[in-house]
Amino acid sequence: MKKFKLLALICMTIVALMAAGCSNNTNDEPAANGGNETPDATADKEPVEINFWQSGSEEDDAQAKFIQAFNESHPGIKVVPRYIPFANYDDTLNTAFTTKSGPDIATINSVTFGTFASRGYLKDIGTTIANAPGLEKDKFFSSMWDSAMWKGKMEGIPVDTGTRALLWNKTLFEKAGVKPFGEEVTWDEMKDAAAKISALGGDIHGWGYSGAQNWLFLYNGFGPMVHQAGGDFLTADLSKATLTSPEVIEAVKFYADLANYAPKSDVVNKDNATYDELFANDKTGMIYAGFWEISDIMKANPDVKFGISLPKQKQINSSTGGWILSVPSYVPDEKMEAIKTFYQEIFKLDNLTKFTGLMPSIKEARKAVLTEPMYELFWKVLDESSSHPIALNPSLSQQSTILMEEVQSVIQGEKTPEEAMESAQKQFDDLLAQNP
Amino acid sequence: MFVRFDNYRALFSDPNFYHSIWLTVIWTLFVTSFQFLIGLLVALLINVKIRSINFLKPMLILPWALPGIVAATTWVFMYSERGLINQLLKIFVHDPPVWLAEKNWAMFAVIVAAIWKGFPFYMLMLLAGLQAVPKDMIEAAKIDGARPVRVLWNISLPQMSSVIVTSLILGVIWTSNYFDGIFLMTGGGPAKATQTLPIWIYKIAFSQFNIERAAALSVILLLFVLAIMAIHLRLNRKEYRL
Repeated sequence: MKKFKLLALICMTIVALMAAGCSNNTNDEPAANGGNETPDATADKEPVEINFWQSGSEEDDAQAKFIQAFNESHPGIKVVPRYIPFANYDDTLNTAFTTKSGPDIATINSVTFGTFASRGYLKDIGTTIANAPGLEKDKFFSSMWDSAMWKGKMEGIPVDTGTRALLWNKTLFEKAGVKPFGEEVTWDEMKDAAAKISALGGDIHGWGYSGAQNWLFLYNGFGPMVHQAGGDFLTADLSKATLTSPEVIEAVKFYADLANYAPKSDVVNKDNATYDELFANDKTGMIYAGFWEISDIMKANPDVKFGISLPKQKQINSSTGGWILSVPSYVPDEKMEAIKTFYQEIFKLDNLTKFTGLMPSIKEARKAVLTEPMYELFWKVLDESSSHPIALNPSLSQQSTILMEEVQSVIQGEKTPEEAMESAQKQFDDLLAQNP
Repeated sequence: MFVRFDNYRALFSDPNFYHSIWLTVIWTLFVTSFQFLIGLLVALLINVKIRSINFLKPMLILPWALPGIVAATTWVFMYSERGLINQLLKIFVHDPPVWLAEKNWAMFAVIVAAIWKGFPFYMLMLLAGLQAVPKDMIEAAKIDGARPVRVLWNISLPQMSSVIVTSLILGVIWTSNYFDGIFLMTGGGPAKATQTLPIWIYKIAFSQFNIERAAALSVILLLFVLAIMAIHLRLNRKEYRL
């Protein structure tokens, strides 16, 4: 009898545990009361509370002052900010959206925007902001405005972005006898420079990269290379992958060629701090980096001398990322008027610059921030040729990981570029079929 | 929404699943075995009261006491191209491997680091077991002419059976679930060479936000651990009198 009871208990536990793996993540039930506030709060003349979440480790003084000033000048609205460390931010948002209890407005990393939007976690704010002064479409960089659209619906407003470019170390170029790069540089010139700098020997390498962090792999390397070669990852209607095209194969070969001139351990390097520091200390000849990394590089060595160029094969391309300010789908319509007012205040030039250390999404910011000459190329490429490497879609994270692992297998000599991309193509197509 | 066994079906049709299972088996087998053997060896040396070993005792516990991130970072430096290990190897070999960056060596390298990190646990447990063996039994065996190896095999180890079983059960559970060291050293790479189940669960849950698929995989990991323990206990039921 005792044995039977024990067996029954074990069976029940296993069934309960297995049930944990028998659900999916569709946002298929509306929140009973909008998640976190009674709709008649405004009727009682209480201020409408807006919980505002964003990524950050601590409260920024300029932002805090803005929110305090906003609350004082809008007695009917009370914005309550919450800052969540970047490392946990996406995960915390995902939990909040799944349980329908969390922010009323939140900044969303553009790389996870497609995932959240595809699951129905974000609200269509198109009607809310239509004709709202200060939120007109032509005020924003068009590519950025489009990046907050999901299947024809406006599911956020872009806050900022950032472009990447090639940074090359002048000291090492001089030592290796490499002619300084101009504003544009070809892939052959890059490979030639990497070889000559690596030939200096010791612990000096021509190239530095992160081969084991999917976003750094995609945005700070492989993604723009594919576009520079004239290729793309998906068809225009996002229904099929295009990874076996000659352009993508060419980009894989170039990525692997450059990896030969980097520290071998870069294939498992998961951050940009490692190569930024080596570059700053004249140990790495070239890196592909965002402009926001320049301050870290100069902090590591204020005397570092470097140039900035835009790589080009068939064309120039730089990857962009950034943040989007969105409203979760569980937020009740009663709050949308207050949220619109908050949007309008944030997207005033003076306020927006307090919210971002990146390039603000509005055109007039071009003359107000990052005005030093060294940022000129980063702005130029934003205007002329920049995009997310892979068009935003629900499987972006899986896709970047698939590409990273397949390119790693090429660097390891396990697969040819053609074999790796054939394998990636099949995995992409399977994913696209599962998440159309 | 209830999706029946769709998440499990998707896992079973994914080649990564079998790859990760295989790596987890290899990882658990080698790490647990060598941690146990080295722990036993060091415990025996301490138990016979060799003076130099006693002097080193606090140092021997250090790997286990170190936070995972410190230990992993130390090994990353040691395994790097210009790290201590390759500097020593260059005396004998022209071009030693970059351990964590090469697919054929990465798993071996993380296993060695994990053995170093975890053997002091077995050392402590087995030393406690050795010191609890009745002295009169050992003396009697010696008077009967038993050599030290025979004393260990026929007296000490059977007397320590409960300690051995308990420490191995804990060891298998910890090792098969081990995450931080592998993640910090290789992130599961290069090219999935060190992607054990816990690493893959993390990637699915926190990189792909597929919590449900990760939950299904976690249940499988739990069953995997339970299966190993059931086999182990079944095979040794009589010997351990459980």
